[in-house]
Amino acid sequence: MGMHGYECDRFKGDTVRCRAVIKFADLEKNLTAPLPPYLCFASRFLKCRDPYAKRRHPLVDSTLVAEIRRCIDQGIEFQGELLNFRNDGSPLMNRLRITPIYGDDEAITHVIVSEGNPAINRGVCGVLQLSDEVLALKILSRLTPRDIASVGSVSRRLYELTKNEDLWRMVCQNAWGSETTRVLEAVPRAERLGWGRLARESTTLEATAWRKLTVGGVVEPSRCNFSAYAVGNCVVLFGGEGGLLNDVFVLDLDAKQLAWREISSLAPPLLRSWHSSCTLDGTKLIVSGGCADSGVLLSDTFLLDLSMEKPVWREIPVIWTPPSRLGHTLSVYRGRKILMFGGLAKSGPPRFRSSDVFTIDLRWKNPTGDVLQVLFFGGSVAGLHSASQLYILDPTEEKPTWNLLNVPGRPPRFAWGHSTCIVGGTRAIVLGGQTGEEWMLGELHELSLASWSKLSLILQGLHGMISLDALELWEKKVWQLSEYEICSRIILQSISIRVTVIVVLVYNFVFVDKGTHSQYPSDACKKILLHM
Amino acid sequence: MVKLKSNDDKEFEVEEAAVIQSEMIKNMIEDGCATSVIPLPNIDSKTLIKVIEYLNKHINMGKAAETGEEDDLKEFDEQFVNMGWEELFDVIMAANYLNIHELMELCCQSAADRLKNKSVRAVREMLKITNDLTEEEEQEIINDAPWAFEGPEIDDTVN
Repeated sequence: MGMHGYECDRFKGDTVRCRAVIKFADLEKNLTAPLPPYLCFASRFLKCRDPYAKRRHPLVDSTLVAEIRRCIDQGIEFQGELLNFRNDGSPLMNRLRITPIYGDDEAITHVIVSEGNPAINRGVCGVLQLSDEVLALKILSRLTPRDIASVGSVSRRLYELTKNEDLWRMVCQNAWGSETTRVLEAVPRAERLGWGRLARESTTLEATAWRKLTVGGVVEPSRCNFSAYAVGNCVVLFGGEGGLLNDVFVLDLDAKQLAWREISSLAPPLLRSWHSSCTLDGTKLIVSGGCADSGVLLSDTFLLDLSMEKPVWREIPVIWTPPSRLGHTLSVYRGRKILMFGGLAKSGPPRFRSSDVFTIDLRWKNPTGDVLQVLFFGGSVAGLHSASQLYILDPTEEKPTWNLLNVPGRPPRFAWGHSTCIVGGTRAIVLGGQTGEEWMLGELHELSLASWSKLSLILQGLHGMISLDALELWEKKVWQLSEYEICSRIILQSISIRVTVIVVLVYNFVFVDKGTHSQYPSDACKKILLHM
Repeated sequence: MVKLKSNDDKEFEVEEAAVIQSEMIKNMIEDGCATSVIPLPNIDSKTLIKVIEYLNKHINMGKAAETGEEDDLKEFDEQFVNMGWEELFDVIMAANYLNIHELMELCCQSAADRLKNKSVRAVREMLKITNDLTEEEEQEIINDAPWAFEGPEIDDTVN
């Protein structure tokens, strides 16, 4: 069948809109030939390979078909309500219009077929109450989750429009960026929350809660000041101090029983501690900086591809690197950029250069105007014992301010010294820590930012440092669930959402001098504390 | 030149270079069926004039980038969408029917920008929508997402 100018414009998963200009001769041929299922299914008819066009639907009105035939025969315009089908096969009524075009000799040469009539009932039900679902959704999909939730109470028609799951996905994507929505979409369907629900939970933080995790297995030798990061659904632990180390351990968070196991790797970087790591593409571990033998600080960057059967370390060549440092954090954002934050940049007495921020994207550079969202937990002010409070900061707001979150569940108790955290999609994890008097280690806490049980754990980042004096616990070769106290600064970075987060920065802003157990709040810390 | 006829029987001549930004008309021209007047049964003359104004301004979009006229176009676009809701929707309908992608994007974005952060009352008033939900239904929707109905960013003004 000769069809011309056929095109199809769809709102994903929903109504199909089609318009076409058809040569009249072709149309006539079709009308006189045994009628292919239905001319009246304008779009499906035109898309004749479509299976729906092959069989008669019970809702088809045969008198309407006859009417179309009559109009075309007589060269007059046809308008009417016609049966069409959604992509999922469910029927819906559409308005169809067939307009003849006359050539110079007053004979019909073509007909224009259009779907959806714009001029229906405008006055009565308002402009956005368009009969045309596709157009209304095109506009609504550019709004924010809040707008959509609110606009649903405007009228019944809008309420129905805002029930569309694809619309919600679009507005969530507007708000959080496509990276976040991609991660969330990777969650198996059965465990996935609706987009509307996710938008609500991430706005209200209603499902945010602490949960305690139990971990078994062996990490030997016992160590501290290692890095840990999520690679896929595994936490990968590298190096550390317990003698200087450069070995790799993996904790599979999908396993029924959480347990550490060691993996062998080729050509590892220098033995080190106080370094940082992050992950790329869910398979590659990046390790940067840290403290080598005899206190020398490092600035190198290594990559380990854990998807390989026998992982091999590779140094990433960079044109320029920030000063060597330890105790900093690395996070990945927008897929391939790595954000380095804070750290101790000079050897000698501990002194924080906390507010440095660098990114690597082919080369290291200062970032410009990237959206960060920040959440931090617990911590201590020199000489003060602050509680395990959770704060959140949205730097995208006009006047950013720290807000205290009241979260149910049992939080890790107060402690200070370094600890750890993770976030993936919607969860943060806090690991280890110490109190002033006794060193503690071995507890894992999780902060859910949405209904945790419904989401698979997609960890994006974990950076951990645990005190030397925790060695005792390590020697028991088990992660013990003893109560202990934690101090950590968790900085969650997301594309623009308040809490559903893609990447975490853990920023240890209270540094513990091992010799004296004194504390050095950083400049950034002081600034933050001022706002409390 | 291509002749377009609005649904109130007014005819307009438009340069082919301008009018082929409409995918629909472009296809018709390619099929050789634009030799006579093209009837546009969904578009009135007032709207068609706006659309033609846009098409004429946006001829040779590619060239604008070279000649540094991008800012000029941007300013034109800003001015262009500065119209009432009714008119905006008419243009959206026309752009949809004629399949003029850029115009569609421009107008839908403008509509969305006007709705962003607006209160329910403001949306109803702006769009002249009568609330046909019962009080209970409306309350239920609000109870379902109270977070969407409070906050300093919500704008109750109508503009």
